[in-house]
Amino acid sequence: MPLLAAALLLPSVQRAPAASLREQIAQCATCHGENGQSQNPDIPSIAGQPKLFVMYQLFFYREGRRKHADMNRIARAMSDADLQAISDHVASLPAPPPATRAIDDPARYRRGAALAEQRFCQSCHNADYSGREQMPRVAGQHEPYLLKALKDYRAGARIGTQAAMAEAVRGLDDAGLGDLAYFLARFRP
Amino acid sequence: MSPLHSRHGLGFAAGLAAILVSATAITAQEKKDEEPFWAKGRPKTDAAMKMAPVAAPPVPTPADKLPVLKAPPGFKVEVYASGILDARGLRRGDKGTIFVSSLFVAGKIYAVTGEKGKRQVKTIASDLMLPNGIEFRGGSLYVATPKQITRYDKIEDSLDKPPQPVVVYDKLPGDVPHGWKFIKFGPDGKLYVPIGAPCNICDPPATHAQIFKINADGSGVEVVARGVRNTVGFDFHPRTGELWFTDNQRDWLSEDMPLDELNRITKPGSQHFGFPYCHSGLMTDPEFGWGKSCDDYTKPAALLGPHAAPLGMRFYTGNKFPAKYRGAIFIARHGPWNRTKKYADVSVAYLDASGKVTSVQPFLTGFVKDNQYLGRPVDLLVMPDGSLLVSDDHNGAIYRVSYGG
Ligand code: HEC
Ligand code: HEC
Repeated sequence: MPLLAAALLLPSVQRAPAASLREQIAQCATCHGENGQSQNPDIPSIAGQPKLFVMYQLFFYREGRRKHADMNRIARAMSDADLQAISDHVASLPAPPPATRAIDDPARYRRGAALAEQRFCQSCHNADYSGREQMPRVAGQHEPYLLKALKDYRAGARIGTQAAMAEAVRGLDDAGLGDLAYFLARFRP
Repeated sequence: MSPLHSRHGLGFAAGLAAILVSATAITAQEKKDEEPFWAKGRPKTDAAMKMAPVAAPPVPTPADKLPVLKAPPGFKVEVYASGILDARGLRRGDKGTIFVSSLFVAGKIYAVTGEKGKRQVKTIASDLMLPNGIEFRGGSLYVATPKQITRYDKIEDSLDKPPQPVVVYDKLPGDVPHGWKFIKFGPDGKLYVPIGAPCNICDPPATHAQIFKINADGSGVEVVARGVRNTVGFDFHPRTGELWFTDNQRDWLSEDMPLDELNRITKPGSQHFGFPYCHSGLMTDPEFGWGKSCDDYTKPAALLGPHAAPLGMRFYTGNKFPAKYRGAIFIARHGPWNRTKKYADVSVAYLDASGKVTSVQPFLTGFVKDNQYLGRPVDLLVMPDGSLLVSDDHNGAIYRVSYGG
């Protein structure tokens, strides 16, 4: 009975998480925003990210292979089954709407787009940067967060699945990474 | 021409070479007016716009869900151990422990002990940076990351409480791209260590794209081979002591080129295997190959297929497999990601008396179904009983292939 009730109370969630998970999931909103759409530019939106991507990130945080004090603490409490269920849940949340941030520097947007094309970003992240499998949606993500992520990959502070991103950002300077973050945060299909 | 001709899509190099001759005849002037170099071979179709490394979930596959693999008649394939997340490199300790490394996912080193039915998997080191390279000698386990090589002494006596590792060598560059290692002691007692190209394609500094060797204490660096893009598997010929290695060629050129290589070092220290100027012994690079000729570089001993990702390789030194396998090389083809059509297997390269590769044939198959990976072989180990262990990082498992009863 309690399970059914929970399912009814959470109409936006396609597959209602087990009661034991509800508490874990409830805390995500305090940082990642209502329904996983973050209002804080330093915290990524996670709603609608591919399940495998979310599962990998939670796994990396749990194992201490991606470092962030809060996320490490939160993920350490998760079993393999929790990883499955929580990433299922995050993936089922509706993705944020397409970016509406103003393209106030069109030249910069074009530089970012050209660099992204040169580095095959779309081959992995999809033509519309919506992500799939272990590759995240990067279109419309917060710009400061994108820039931090790209710098983490360049520095080797974050390696991630198959180390794919180390090669993608190899040799780029801060301006190049900045252009990429600018472009992706404002991406128009 | 390439010595490799098999039915497995590997034997088309001759036709391609003919096409490439005309392709490389483009003059420098024409080149200037073309698309920028990076756009060459850039995926332009929907299919090609969907290429990415293939990742399995970060949990090992339960034993009863592992793929059913096929070997030639008379061979038996069984699961040796499962539940080993991201199982990669395989080494055997003097007392029979099987050491297993891992790479992107787990960052761990495992020890597998015990007989069939009572087999146990222990984690002996965690939170390491890309610890793919392992080796065992004189009671010690050597572990190589992109940054350094360390040694765990008397490891088999202390699997439950591993000792603090001793640093053997810490002057590795530490790059993430192709920085992970495969390491092995040669018959000369030296430890052989590769430093891959820090990129998909670039003109690397002299410190990179090479294999070097050091004394067991980390002293006495000597370069063994240059022009090596990224080798993640090598072995020494059991009779001649020559070093043979697999080498992964560049991405993004095309569906069917370049072809990954099996190479043979006949003159240690003075051979260049082509990277980044010549690929597969067949084609100059569209950016870095201008003014270069493939004739100036050592040709591969065999070609192993487009983007095949050949990793571990071992001469079969056991005496249980049929005669034709003795002295042949087993090669794990992990399978491509930078190609729309996938394939993966353990293949065998047969050698004639002079050491020439006469053919390469698939041996262990069943890793791909409907163009999806069911498993991906990484490293191989010939056991004292003549059987062959095969690791699979996609499922976190080790298989055992044996012959006869
Ligand atoms: C105290 C604030 C906080 C809470 C609570 C929190 N997160 Fe996070 N989370 C962050 C921050 C900050 C980052 C980015 C950190 C970094 O750069 O590594 C992050 C990163 C992530 C990422 C990686 C996203 C990406 O695009 O790479 C995932 C997935 C994630 N969190 C899921 C969750 C889930 C699921 C929960 C609830 C179980 C949760 N987080 C709770 C702050 C929080
Ligand atoms: C070969 C495949 C591949 C290519 C090419 C690639 N990426 Fe990625 N990217 C990935 C994968 C896989 C991840 C997740 C890695 C992880 O686990 O941390 C990722 C993660 C990211 C992230 C982190 C997002 C987050 O929410 O944490 C950003 C930003 C990003 N990529 C941008 C780019 C840009 C910009 C390019 C081109 C310059 C690019 N990627 C090219 C595979 C790729």
